[in-house]
Amino acid sequence: MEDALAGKHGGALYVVNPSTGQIATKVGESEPQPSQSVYLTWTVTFKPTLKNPSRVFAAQWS
Amino acid sequence: MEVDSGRVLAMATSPDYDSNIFETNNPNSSERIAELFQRTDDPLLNRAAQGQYPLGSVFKIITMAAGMESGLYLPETTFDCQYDWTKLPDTIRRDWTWQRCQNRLQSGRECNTSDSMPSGLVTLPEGLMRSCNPLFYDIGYTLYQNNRQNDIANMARAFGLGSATGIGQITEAVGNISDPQTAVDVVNQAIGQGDMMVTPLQVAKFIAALGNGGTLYRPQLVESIHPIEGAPTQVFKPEATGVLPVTPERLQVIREAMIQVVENSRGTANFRLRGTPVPVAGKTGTAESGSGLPHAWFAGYTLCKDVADKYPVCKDKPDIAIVVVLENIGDGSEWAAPIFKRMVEVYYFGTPQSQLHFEVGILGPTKTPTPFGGIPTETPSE
Repeated sequence: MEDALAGKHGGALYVVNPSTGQIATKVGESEPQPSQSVYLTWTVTFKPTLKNPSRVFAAQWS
Repeated sequence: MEVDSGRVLAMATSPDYDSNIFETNNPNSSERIAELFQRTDDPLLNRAAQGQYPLGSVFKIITMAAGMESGLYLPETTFDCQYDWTKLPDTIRRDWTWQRCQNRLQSGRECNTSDSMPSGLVTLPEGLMRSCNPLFYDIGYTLYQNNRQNDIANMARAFGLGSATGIGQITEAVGNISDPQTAVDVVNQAIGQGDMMVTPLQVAKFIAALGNGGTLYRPQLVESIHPIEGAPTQVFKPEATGVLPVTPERLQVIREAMIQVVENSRGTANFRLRGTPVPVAGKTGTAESGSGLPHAWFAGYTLCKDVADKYPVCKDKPDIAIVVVLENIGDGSEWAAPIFKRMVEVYYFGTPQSQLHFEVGILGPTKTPTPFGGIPTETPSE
């Protein structure tokens, strides 16, 4: 899941002629991968009450 | 947790912390992190998956299953449940009603209430409904005498206790279910005490299995993974990891007993769960923690799916299992069961439908639920 959320940087590795600064050859290339969306099983409306089931406890824990 | 799939709908732990303090660009980060680590109440511990507690009387479900599966107990086996159980010489073991009686005597009252009188002659399911300690001590002791001292531990492990649930994505503790070495160990284990440790997540997993008829599902947190556009790259399906080793008939006996815990006027959760707007089943637990007040447990599930014609709110909602644990606060019936009720109300109706008994007098008069955007009105005082 972490990999899906993070995506992946792309890149290319070239050999450059030091005297001319020109690219001599491309050694390899990796395509970037965009991050993806992770959908959870959470029920959004349920969570706040679960987090704080009673203001009695909120007062105790504050 | 949905009982038929293991999908986790919500999970919470308290006390909590502000995760933004770990953002390195937050100028208050280092100061706030230092404060966080100085706290003694362990806010970084996700108690739902990492908290490890004795299960107390919720564990009697497992002892009852082990007793019946051993062949030594039938559902209709009777037992005279009194205040004391004295078959082991190390100490006099008491029923919970004895303490309630002592509390009443100290305040000048008689022991003439359902929770302060011994339960008397009970069958196995009635013993669960009443959470009769002596009955479950006796089951443990009988198993021990019949060279079956590991039956309860084996049943607990088969229910998923003492091992990781496999939820993934979050860290979880495994707890501990050890094989008892002595008769004392077995008897303590039989009521969910001794050296056992379980996580609330493990309990949710087996309670869901009781709700669905016996299938243990791996708790599921991730539904699917989607690219920016197009079809999902991964869709996660419910994954059954096992089956409770209890015959369907005996499982039904346990399920019926868990209904009686709530519905029968002598059930331990009846008083606090009366008026729950949909049918539910469950078990209370009050687990001695070694220091301070006991931990309060309630574990149960909804029984809506099969009665959707009678309860319209049940129509499009899967049945769920809910586990509530409150550390060092007191009785499960008094503290955890009401919160279970609130969870049920919010799940089916979107908002709380009643005030909890410990809110009365603290949070003011009862508010009636807001009808379709209307303004809440106060209940007239008497």
